[in-house]
Amino acid sequence: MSTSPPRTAGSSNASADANACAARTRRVLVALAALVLLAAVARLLVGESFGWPPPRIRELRVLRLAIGLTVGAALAVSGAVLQALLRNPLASPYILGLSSGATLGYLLAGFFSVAGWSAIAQFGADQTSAFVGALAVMLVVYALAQRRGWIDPIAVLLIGVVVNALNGAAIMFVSYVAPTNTRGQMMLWMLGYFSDFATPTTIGCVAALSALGIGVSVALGRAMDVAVFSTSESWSLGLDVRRLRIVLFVIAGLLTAGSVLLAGPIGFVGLVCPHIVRLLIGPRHRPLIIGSALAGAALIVAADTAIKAASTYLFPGASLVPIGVLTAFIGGPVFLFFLWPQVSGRREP
Amino acid sequence: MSGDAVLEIRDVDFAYVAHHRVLEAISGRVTPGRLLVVLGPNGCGKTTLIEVLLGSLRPDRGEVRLLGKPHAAWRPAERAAHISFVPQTSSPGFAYSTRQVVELGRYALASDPPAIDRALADVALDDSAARAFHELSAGQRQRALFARALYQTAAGGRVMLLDEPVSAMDLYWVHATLRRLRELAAGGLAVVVVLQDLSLAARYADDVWLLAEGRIVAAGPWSEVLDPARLSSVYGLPIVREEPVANAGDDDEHAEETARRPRFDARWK
Amino acid sequence: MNTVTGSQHDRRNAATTLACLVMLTSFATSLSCRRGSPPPAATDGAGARRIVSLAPSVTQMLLDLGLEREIVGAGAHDPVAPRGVRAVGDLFQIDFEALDALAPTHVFLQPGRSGVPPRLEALAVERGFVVAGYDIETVDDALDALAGAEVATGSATPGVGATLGLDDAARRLATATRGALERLRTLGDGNPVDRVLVLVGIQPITAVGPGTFLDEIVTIAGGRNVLPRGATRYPVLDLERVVTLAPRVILIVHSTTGQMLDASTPPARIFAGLGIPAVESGRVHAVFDEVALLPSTSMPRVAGAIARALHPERAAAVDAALAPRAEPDGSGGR
Repeated sequence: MSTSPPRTAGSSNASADANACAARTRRVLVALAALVLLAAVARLLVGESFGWPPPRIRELRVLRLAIGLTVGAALAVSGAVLQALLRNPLASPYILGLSSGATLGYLLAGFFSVAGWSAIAQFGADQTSAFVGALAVMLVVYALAQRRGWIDPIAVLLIGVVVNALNGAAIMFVSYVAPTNTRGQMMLWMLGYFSDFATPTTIGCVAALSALGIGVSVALGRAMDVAVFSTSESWSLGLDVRRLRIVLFVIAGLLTAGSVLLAGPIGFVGLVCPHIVRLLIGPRHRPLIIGSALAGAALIVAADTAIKAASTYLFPGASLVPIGVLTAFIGGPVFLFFLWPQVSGRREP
Repeated sequence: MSGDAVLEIRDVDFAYVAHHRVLEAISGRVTPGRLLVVLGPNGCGKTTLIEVLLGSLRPDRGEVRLLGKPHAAWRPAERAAHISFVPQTSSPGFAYSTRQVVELGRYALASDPPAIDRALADVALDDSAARAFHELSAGQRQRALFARALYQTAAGGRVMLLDEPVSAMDLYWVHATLRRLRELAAGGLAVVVVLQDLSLAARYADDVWLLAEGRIVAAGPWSEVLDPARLSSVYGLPIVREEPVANAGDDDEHAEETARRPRFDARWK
Repeated sequence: MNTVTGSQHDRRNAATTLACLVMLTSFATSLSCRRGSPPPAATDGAGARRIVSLAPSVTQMLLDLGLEREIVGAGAHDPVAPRGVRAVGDLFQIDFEALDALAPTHVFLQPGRSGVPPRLEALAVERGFVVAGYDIETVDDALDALAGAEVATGSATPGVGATLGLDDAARRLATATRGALERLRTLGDGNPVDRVLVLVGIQPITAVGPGTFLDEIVTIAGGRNVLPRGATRYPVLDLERVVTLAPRVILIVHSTTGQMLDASTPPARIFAGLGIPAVESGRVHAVFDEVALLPSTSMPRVAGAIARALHPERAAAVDAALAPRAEPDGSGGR
């Protein structure tokens, strides 16, 4: 172009900016990993007695730690994946009814508790049904929201909201008709408690499945970057949009189902962790998925540790607080802290 | 028309909603080295046509072939090597930087960072490369999307499809972009661009497809298709053709041939 | 999704929505048809009682007083109500229409903090039936509700027996019940079983804390709760807590067949391999009883089951303690 165009004000050297960005990302990820390590050590030290535990207690704490890491990472990544799929930073496993579907499955199994079901696993029938419930919701939402094999993000969102509402109504109904004592247990479970009777095998399987899901998500990171643009843009850039959406949907469903299996429905993690990480390192999905997994794991393990510390040292003899309550108490203010600059700086257009 | 068609569209019908056809019996060929402008009133199906040419919409009837192969037979990554697309607007829900947006142009292809810088420089957005894409003005965003297509097509693209790519740009960039498209066409690229402005179309097009109510009412060289009577009937208001005034004092022999093309304007009676 | 909808399209949508609403409304109305048989014929003479009991504790008492045939209505989740009896409400609300249709003579309920609903009182005045509310939380509450409080505290409500004009029978029943419990307590007082952990839930592990009804029963049955004073009423525990508490006996109490365990899972299996004394000595027991959490005249039965679990070597003595005794006044007790 021979004539020079009008210039706009802007920053200087483009590639220097890119390098600074990459360095910052690395620093943040390392910091998050350190947080996870810190939380893990705290979880092992905190319990009925403070300090390095004897073998049997150590086993118990290690199992709880394993559950916490798995559930935290799985939920956070599930949220990030759904946000990419739905092109909406407010998406979470809850929105699509995945968590409520798992809850409904769990309650129905308890309600129709039939002798012999538990032959499947030591504590099996209820947890298996939770898993099946989440998957069933996934299939229903997919079947209703797809057109000629294409998932339409807006349709998924709308149908997910409806399915979530229906699940909620069904849950209320089942709770209502359940015998009083069973209802009490159901209500408690729904607040989110780590399963005390998950065998190492079960935890291992869910952890492996989650690791696979997270790994695939990381590998699909660049594809997700493309997918947040319009369908025609994504198509033109060479992305197999249809296949990607299906894969992302399945990953989110499996991650959520596994997490509900181990710890009941826990809210907030899937929404907040990807958000916070995005505010720290930007929207590129490859580092975002890794960061979200780390942030989620740290949050859940820290929450579990705090609950145990509170019930042992602060209020001895008190009941264990459900973890869903604490993730909201921790996550909420942290979220607000990160969001405040954006929120307070806004002006109405 | 020179060379084999890069894109061929054969007898295509398309409807978003059953019984409400947006495109009907569309046939045509897009050839390399020519800049094809698609014109027509609002709602006549221009954007739909672009997306059908791109392959992101599948026709209800008929087919579209890219380099002789139907779209369905192409693997996405291979397709991206040949065909690039510039939408009218883009609003990703996340805060990608301008440079990151351009970088995605070669998602399916081998990346080449200096080429990204060149593309950004071509649209004079190298200063804003680190700024968030959504913070740019509408015109700047369109320039960034154009830069993305430039980056993608520099890897050996054969055809570029653009849907109203200059609608928000200022006067300088409108002409700079269209002039760049002419240069690309001269270099062998097949260019299809949807425009609203008839004079712009007259000035820069080689060929024109005039759409009305989902059908191509005229296709061919711009001088044939841009007939005032036909345009008036399609657009529903009187359109006149104005010949450029010959500047006696014009001694610039390098004034573009295209600058001497007629203008089209509306005249209410 | 931009589609142009004509007015015809809108009209069709409106019609469909209306049809759906009508269908939903009729479906909901049909759902409100209740279970149970149609109400029995009107009273066939002076003195015949038609009793509605919305408090399962009271229902149990009525059964033990031999009044099964006179119960015409019960709460929806009442585990001991006779089969075919009409449901006229639940823990949270009363179905006044159904209640009225039964033409009751006596209505018993557990009013809770909000007291007897004014509407029920008004209905009682209008129709001329008696309303009596009892908040039954503890062993003493249950026996007081049955036979009337020993100490008049202001406006003390007469007991169930007095309300029904069966003072004597109620007092005998209360005495017999208390007697059985006392005999059981004496049996266990000698060497109580320490460090008993009572669970009412497994997912999550929910224990029975001190100060609750079940804790009282366990104490009567000869056990001592492992949880310290001051713990929450029904605290949730994690496995580490259970291991640290090191209970000598674990009782898993099911008040209804529920989701916690099923018959095929031996309770000991779920706590295996953790070094818990109760598990190692094989003293993990499941107690199934419909009324385990119900303070009522069924308490001796529940206490007996627990006592047998705690002291298997004393099973015979437990049976003897619970066997009905002859009353001091000579009339055969229950």
